[in-house]
Amino acid sequence: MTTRVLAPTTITVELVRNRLEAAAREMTETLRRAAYSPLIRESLDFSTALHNPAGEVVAQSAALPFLAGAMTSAVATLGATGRLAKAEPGDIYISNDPYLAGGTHVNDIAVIVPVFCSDELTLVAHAKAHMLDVGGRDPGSWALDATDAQQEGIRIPHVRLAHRAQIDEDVMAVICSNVRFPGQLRADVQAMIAACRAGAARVDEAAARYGTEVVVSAATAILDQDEARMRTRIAELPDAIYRSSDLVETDGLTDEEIAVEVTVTVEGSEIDIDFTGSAPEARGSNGNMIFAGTEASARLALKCLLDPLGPDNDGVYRPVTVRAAPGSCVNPHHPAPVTVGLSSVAHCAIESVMRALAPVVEERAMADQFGCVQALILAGPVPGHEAPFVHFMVYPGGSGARANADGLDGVVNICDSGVRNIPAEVIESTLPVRVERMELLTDSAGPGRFRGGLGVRADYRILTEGVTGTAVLNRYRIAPRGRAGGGEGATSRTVVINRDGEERHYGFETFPVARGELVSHRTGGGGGWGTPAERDPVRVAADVHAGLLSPQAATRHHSAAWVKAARPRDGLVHE
Amino acid sequence: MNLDPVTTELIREQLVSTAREMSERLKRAAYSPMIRETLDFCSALHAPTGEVIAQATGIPGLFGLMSQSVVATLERIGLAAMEPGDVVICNDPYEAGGMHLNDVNIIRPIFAEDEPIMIAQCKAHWVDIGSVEPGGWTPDATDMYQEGLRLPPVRLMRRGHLNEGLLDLICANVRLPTEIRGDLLAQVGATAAGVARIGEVLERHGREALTAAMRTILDQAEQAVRARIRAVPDGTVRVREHAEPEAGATEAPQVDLALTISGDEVIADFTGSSKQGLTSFGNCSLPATEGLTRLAIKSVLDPLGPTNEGSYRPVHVVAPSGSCVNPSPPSPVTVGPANVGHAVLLAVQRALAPLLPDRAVADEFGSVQVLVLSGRTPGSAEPFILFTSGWGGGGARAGRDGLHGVATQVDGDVRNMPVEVIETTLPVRVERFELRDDSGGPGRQRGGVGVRADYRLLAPCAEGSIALNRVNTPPGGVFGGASPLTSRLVINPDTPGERILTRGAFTLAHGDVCSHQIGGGGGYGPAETREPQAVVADVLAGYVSTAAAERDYAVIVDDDGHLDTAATRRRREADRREPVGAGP
Repeated sequence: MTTRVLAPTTITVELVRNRLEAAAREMTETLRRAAYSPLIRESLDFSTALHNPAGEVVAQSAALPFLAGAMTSAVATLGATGRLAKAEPGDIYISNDPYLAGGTHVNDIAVIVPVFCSDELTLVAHAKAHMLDVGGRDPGSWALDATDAQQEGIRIPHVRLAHRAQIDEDVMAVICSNVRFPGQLRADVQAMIAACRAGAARVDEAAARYGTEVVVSAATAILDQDEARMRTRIAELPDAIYRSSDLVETDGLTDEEIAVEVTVTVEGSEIDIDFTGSAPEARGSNGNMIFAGTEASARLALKCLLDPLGPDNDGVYRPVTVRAAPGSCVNPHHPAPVTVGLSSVAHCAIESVMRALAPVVEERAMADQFGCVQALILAGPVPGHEAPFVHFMVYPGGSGARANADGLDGVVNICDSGVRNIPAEVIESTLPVRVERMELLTDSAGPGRFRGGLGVRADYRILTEGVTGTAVLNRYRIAPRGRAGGGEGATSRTVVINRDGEERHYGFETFPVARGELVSHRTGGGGGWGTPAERDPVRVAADVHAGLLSPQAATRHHSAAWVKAARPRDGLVHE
Repeated sequence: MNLDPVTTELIREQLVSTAREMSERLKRAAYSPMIRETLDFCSALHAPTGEVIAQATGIPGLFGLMSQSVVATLERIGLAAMEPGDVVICNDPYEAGGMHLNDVNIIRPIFAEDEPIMIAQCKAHWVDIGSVEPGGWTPDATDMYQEGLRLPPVRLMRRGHLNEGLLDLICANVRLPTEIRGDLLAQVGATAAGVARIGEVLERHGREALTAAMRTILDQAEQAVRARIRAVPDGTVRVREHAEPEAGATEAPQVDLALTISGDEVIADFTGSSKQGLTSFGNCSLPATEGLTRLAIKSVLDPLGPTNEGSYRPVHVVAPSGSCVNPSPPSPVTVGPANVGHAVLLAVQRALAPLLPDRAVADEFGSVQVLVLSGRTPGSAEPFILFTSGWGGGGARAGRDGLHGVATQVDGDVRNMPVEVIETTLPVRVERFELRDDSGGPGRQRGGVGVRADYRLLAPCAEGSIALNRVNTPPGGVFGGASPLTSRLVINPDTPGERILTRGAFTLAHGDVCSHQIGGGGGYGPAETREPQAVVADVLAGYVSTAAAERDYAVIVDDDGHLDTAATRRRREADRREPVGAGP
C-alpha cells in the first residue's frame, strides 16, 4: 500500500527551511562551544550542513563559504560506497581524504551522521573542520614541498567511526596515534559528533511536528525553489563565452608559474565553467587543487557575483557545471599532493571566474583581493613535552575595490570569510610568542578611484629556541591586480628581523627563527578600481588622516587636491 | 603437573614446527616480494605472559624482539578482554614494542576452550608504511609522524569479524595498498595456522601438558644460559662504539656500554651513551636496543640452544630514557637500528669477546645498508618501490676467510630480491650484481668481499634514499688484520657527473645508474702472513687484484696468474724489515 503525500504548502516549506537552517546554525554553535582547538573555537575554520541522502546540501550555516561549497562531495562519495543506504541509527562516519572520500585536504576532517526519523534515513548531518595537525611531514600538516599524498598526513577514507552509537575505539586510536595533538583532535571529533547530533535532534523535532514525509518533500521543494531562483539570475546574463586566467606563483618546489584558465559559457539559464587549458598537475602540493576544491571555487565566485544574499544549497548549483581535465592542476590524479594548493590554486580559480564574468556583472565585481589563506605557521618544541607547539592562522588582508566602493580593510579572503583571527590574548597565553603588532599596513592598498582594502601586519616576538616558521603566501611575487585603471595592491611577505635589525624576506618557504627574533607577517592589499587621479580628494585626505595612506603615497598616486580637501578639517597635512 | 621429558620434547618440536609452518604460510600467501622473496618476517608462539616459547629462525635480529609487542598488547588490551577470533595489529615502537614502523605485527590469542593458553604472532616488514619517503626509510626524518603510519595495539578482528573500516584506514595510509592488504591478510592467515596446530597439540596432549611443557621449555633455556653466565668470572667490561653521524652533525652518536656479569645474571648498562638524535638515523628504539643486546648475548653464550624467552631472563638492559638507545617520543627511530643499533650489537659482542678468545671474528661490513628507489611507474598512477638491503663481506675468523656477499648478521637468512623479479616488476634494469674487487679486509684470513649492484632507472624520474653505516668508522680487523673497503652509493659511476653518497635522499633521472657498493669484512691476522697460494687463488677468482695482492699481501702474481715465488719471498722479507701500512 502506498500513502499519497500531499505536497507541502509554500508556508510549510518556508517553516521547514527555517528550521533546517536554524539546525545547521545550531550545529555550528555547538561545535564552536565544544571544540578544544583554537582553530575551531576562535577561528571558526569549519562548516556544518544538512544534506539529503543523495548528498545534496539542503541547509548550511554560512560560516566558511569555501568549505560550504565542498561539503557535497564527502556525503555523495559516502553514498556511492553504498554505506549510507545500509547505515543504521547511531552510525557515524569519519573521513578526510581528497581522493578516497571527497575531501578537500587532509586537514579538513568530516564527520557524517545519517539522520533517521521513524527508522527512515531522512537527512544527513555533516560537520567538517580544519584540524591543527593531521600528522605528515611538518607540524601543522602543511608541507610546502610535499610530492605525494602520503606525505601530507593521515588519510582517512570513509570509515565507520561508530556503530549504533558505540564508538569504534580501534579506529579512533589509530587516527589519534597519527596526529601531533591527539587529545585535541579526539575532543574536536567528539565536538563534531555532538554538533551532528544536535542537527539530528532538530530534524527529528521537525519530523515530529510536520511528519517525516513533509520534511523530506519540503527538502526537495527547497532545492527546487533555489534552483529556479538561480536559473533566473543566470538567464539575466547575456549568452556568451567568457574567458580569463591567472597564475599560481610556485608549486612549492620550483618558481615555475602554473596557469589556471577558465572558460565560462552562459547559455540560457545554465552556466558551464570549464577549466580545460589549465596547466598539468604539478609535482608539488602548492600547484594542485583537488576537484572538489575547484568546484567549490567556481561555485563560490558565481554565488558572489550572481546572488550573494540568496540561500546557499545545492539547488542553487544545479544549473552550474564545473569541469576540469583529469591530470590538470585543478583536477590532479592520485597521488599528487594537494594540501597547500587548496589556498593558492583556489585563489586563482576564484579570481579567474570573477574576472571572466566581471564585464557583465560590474556592480558586484571586484578588483583582485590580496591573496588567499596567507597562513603563517610557527612551530617548535615545548621543553619537557612530547607535543610541539603549532600556531596556524588564516590572515586577513585587503579585499579588492569595487566599481562604487573601496575594498574592505583587514578581512579574510573570500574562501574563508567568516573565519576570524585568533585573539592575541589566546596566542600569548598558549604559545611562547609575544604579539607586538596587529595593525593595518599603511600604503598597502591598491590605489584607484576606489582604493583596495589594506593588508595587515602581525608581528610576533619569538620567546623560545628551535622555532620554525612557514610562510604560506600567494601573491608574494605577482601583485593583486586592479581594474579599470586601478593600481595593484601590495604583495604579501613574511619578514624576519634579527636583533641587529637585519631583515630576511620570505614568500613561500620554511625558515628557522632564533629566540628573540621578530616574525613580521605582512599581507597585501586589494587592487584599486578606476584611475587614482579620479579619487575624491576628500577620501584621500580621510585616508591620510586615518593613517591608511602616507602623505608621500597620496601625493604620488593622487592629485594634490587632497591637501586642500584636508586642510579645513585638521592640521595633519603634509606640505 | 610434571611432564616427562619425552612428551616435553614432542610438544617443543610441535611448537617449533608450528612457528615454521606459520612462516611458510606467510611466504606462500604474501603478495609483496619483500616477504615472499626476501623473507623479511618472523613467526612465534608466546606464553600468555608474552614470553616467546617457540620461534621460526630466519632473522636473528628478531630473536629478542618478538615479545615486546605481545607484552604491549597485553598491557593495553589485556588477555581477559580478548575472545577467540580476536586479532590485534600493531607496529609502534613507543606504544607497541615495535622495532620500527615497517615491521607490522599480527597477534592472535589461542584459546583452550575459553581460556587463553598461547599467543601466535607474525611480524613482517611492509614495503611501505606511508612515510615521507616511499619505502619507510627516511634517515633524515625529524619526528615519528614523518616515519609513517603508527599503529598502537588495536583489534583488526573481533570474534573472527574483520574490522573493514580499520583495514581500509590502514591501506589508505600506505603506498602499495593492494600488495599490503594481501600481505596483511597473509599474516592473519599465518596466525590462524598457529591456532589450528595448537588445537591439535591440545587434542593430543591436553591443556595441562601444554602448560607444563611451556614452563619447562622456558626454564631449561634459562638454566642453560645461567650456567654459562656462572662460568664467567664476575666483573664489568666497558666498551665504547661509534655510529655514523646524522645529517649535518659532526659528532657521531656514541654507544657506551658497561657489561656486568654478576653471578648468573648479565646487566648491559648503556648509561653514558649520547643524547637522543635529532633524526631517525641517530636513534635506536628501546625494543631494538633490548632485542639486539639479547641477540649478541645469545650468540655468544648459547648459540645453538633453542630460541625462546627463557634465554633472556637473566639478561637486563639499562638504557636511560632520552638517549640514542632509548629515545623519547616523538623522536624518529626507523633507520637508527641499522646505525645506532648496529653499534649496540657490536658493543655487546666486543664486551663479551674476551670470554671467547678462540671465537674472535673480525667486523662484518655493516648493517642492512638499505637502498630505496621509488617513483611513478610509467603509464600508471601506481608508485614503484625498490627496497633492498646490501650484501657485504663477513668478518674473517681463525682459520677461515670471511663469507662473501652475505646479509648482515642481524638479518641472517634474508635473501636478495632476484634480478628477474626486480626487472619484471619495476622500471629498473640491473646491470651488475657482482662481488666488489678488493673490498675484503686483508689478513691472514681475508675478510669477505662485498657486493656491487648497479641499477639503471628506466622511469622518467625517481627518488632515492640511502642509509649506510660503518663508513666513518670502518669495520675493523682483528689480530693485525686490516679494514675492508667501506660501503658507498655511487650515482653514475665512472662518468663526469659521478656522485658518492652514504646517507640521505637523492633524485635520479631516466637512464641514471645507481651503484650500491657494499663493503667487505675485516681481516684476521697480518695480511703478509697469508699463504701466498691463497692470495693467488683470490686473484684468479677475482676477489683480489694483482695490484692489491702486491700492495696488501706482498704477493707477486705474474701476468699469467702464477705466483712469482722468488719475488714474493724478497718482497715479504723486505717488508718485515720495514712494515707497510694496512690496506686501503
